[in-house]
Amino acid sequence: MLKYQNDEDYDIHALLEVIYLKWGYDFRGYSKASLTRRIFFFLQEERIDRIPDLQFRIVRDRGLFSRFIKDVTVNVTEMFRDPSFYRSVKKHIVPQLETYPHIKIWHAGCATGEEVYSLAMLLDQAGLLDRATIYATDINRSVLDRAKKGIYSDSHLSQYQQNFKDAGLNGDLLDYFEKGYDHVIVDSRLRKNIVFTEHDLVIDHVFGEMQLIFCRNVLIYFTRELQDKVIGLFTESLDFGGYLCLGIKESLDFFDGRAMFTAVDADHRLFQKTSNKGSSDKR
Amino acid sequence: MLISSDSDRFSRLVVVGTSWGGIDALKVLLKHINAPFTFSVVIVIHQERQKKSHLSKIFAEMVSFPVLEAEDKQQILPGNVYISTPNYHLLVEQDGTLSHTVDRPVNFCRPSVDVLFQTAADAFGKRVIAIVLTGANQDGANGSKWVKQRGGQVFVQDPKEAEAKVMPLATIANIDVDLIGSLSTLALTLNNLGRS
Ligand SMILES: C[S@@+](CC[C@H](N)C(=O)[O-])C[C@H]1O[C@@H](n2cnc3c(N)ncnc32)[C@H](O)[C@@H]1O
Repeated sequence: MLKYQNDEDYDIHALLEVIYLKWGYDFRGYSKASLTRRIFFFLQEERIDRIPDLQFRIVRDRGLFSRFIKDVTVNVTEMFRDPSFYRSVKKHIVPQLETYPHIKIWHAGCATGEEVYSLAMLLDQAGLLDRATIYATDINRSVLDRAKKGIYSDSHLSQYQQNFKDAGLNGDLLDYFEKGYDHVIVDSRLRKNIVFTEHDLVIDHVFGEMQLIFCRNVLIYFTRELQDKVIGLFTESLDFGGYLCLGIKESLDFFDGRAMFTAVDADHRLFQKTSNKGSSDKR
Repeated sequence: MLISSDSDRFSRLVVVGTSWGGIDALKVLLKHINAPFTFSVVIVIHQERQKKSHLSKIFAEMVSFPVLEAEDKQQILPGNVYISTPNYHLLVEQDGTLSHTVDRPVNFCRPSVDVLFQTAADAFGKRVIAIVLTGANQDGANGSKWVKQRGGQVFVQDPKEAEAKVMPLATIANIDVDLIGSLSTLALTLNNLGRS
């Protein structure tokens, strides 16, 4: 029998069921503590008193549902988050990528794009950007629109410049951006091989033969069961010898198919697909 | 979110928040706790953002019980101590696991004590004991209120003894706390619980 601690938890349970039935987005496998927090922020934002009222309205109002997606997902990101992670990518993964004539890269859960442009700068300095096609996806359309525009407030600029250096890149971050009054704009050279598109990791399918997948700080929002399913999706989307890079609090330790991967740098969560055994060859 | 039998494994959930001066305070507190104990301890400490925190190792070497850096979706076990990771909020789930988010800082802090206290209170209500130690900001005061509202208890380090008084004082000003005491008094109180 299903038993929850608080009455609101029953309301949230019902809300997520209804959203799934009506709109086809499935938040039922998300970790509840963070999701609950976000839902209560959303109620405040929309001046809705109770979850059952939200449930009533969200069924009838597509606009409200769009804002729900926008506000309950956590889109906080930054340029070169964990600079030492990027140094590790440069050291362990770039040499392997150099052996391919063409490289396909997938950023799953790219939020507003800072991570995508960070890697693009690294690839540029390695001379690999021109042979790369980069797919940057997210469930949240509004952050994708901002990622596409590539315009960022300069309030974090000095920290990003420091991260850029700590990540081991040459020159200055501003070599890749045009400075505006209170913002910076990504150079078109960085964007030309990037395709931004909506993709839901819970509902949508395999994404092609990638040499490199970044999915950082997305799996923390999922329960272990859903994490397992999504890592399975990545496993199928990876070329043999391809790499999967996760966030610092994410790992393959509990993934059924972990034997298919070798940890290239366990501390920085860099994994290489080194075996096909155990993968379900469905494609 | 489900209450499983797993979540009944610890007698009480002790959540601790600290900031400036927290490392030294935690050393004293942990050293005074007698193992084995039946409760679990989850700690948020504000730290400089860095690649890797070695705090759990430092503490683990001092005591005979496990002190671990919190892993995502890790089951909270009795007799264990879990410590936050810099730059991630640490949350408690109703199934008795730990989880993380990189959501915006709260009180300029990530991890935030308020986030830990609130989610612990939501998940375990009366079984929660929140402890506020030394710190130079007000993080934890709102979370402590939440803990009280959900039926839990709040202990605070005696501000006279704390390296930074702001955090204990903010909590004392915000709610009726259940105990104000020195680190050894707080530990003693936990030891008495741990035996029952
Ligand atoms: C915290 S951000 C991570 C951004 C970046 N990867 C980083 O590490 O800085 C998490 C992103 O995952 C996205 N996300 C959440 N659920 C998703 C899903 N089911 N499919 C695709 N993206 C999802 C959110 O919209 C959000 O933009």
